[in-house]
Amino acid sequence: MLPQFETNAAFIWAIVIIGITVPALLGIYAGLKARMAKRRLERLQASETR
Amino acid sequence: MISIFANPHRFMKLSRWLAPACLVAGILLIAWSLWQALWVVPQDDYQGGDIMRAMFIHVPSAWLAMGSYMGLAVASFVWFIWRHELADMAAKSIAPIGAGYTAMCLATGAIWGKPTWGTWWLWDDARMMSVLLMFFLFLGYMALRAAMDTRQKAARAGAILAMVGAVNVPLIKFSVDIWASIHQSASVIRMDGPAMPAIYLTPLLIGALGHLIFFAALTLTLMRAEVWQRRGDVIMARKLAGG
Repeated sequence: MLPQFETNAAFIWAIVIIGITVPALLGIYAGLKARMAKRRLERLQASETR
Repeated sequence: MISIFANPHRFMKLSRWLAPACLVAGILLIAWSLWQALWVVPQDDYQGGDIMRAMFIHVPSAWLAMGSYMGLAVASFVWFIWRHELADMAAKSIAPIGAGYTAMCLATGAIWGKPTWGTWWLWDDARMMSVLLMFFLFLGYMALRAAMDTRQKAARAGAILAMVGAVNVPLIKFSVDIWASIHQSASVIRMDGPAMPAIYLTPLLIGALGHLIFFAALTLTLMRAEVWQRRGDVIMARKLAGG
């Protein structure tokens, strides 16, 4: 159950959403970049050994 | 430790388990801090009631933003003096994450400012403007690197910008003491110790530690991506040279 705030609930929830979304997006960015770089390297290594 | 980490092969071996371990630990600590901030910690009427809960997100993001810029400057300095490629990879990896945390600091600060001070933004506030400048320094660092045609030129130009821009970090920290600011003066990092009750200080520090560990996990992941990218570039260059 979500907490109930007496005042400024909209402001608090906006800050919480940003506080979760920004690190999550950064995590997705880092993960995707690593995955793409690794796949590219594997593809190049495979084509080199062929 | 530094000599172990400075070898790319050892770095890849170590970061293979260190990055996911840091990711899990960081997420757990951030989640605990958020739970404390939203469900456990009592509201502080002196600090504007419930809105003070914004502190548990805004303050760690501000510390991380400043810390990441210092990390960028130190890594750039290490590359500039010793030309160690891992230091350049660290600097390149820190920049987008630091920019993200600085944007988070600016956005949460503006939202916190509206109900507390009655304004989203003040153009003559030294703290706000110096943090905005740091955000542009991060963006400028990434744009400058992307504009260069060789990796060496990108590393050199980026390192110079990062080191010169480091002057801004102490300005952010001491701006509230030097100039008139709507921000309050430091209440945690002070010469005579934190001026904050433990019930607020503990979740704040644990949250900041969580974000720091999470930041380290993302930096290691991006550094690993950069190592793979450069290994791929070597194969590409070899293929092109061989016809």
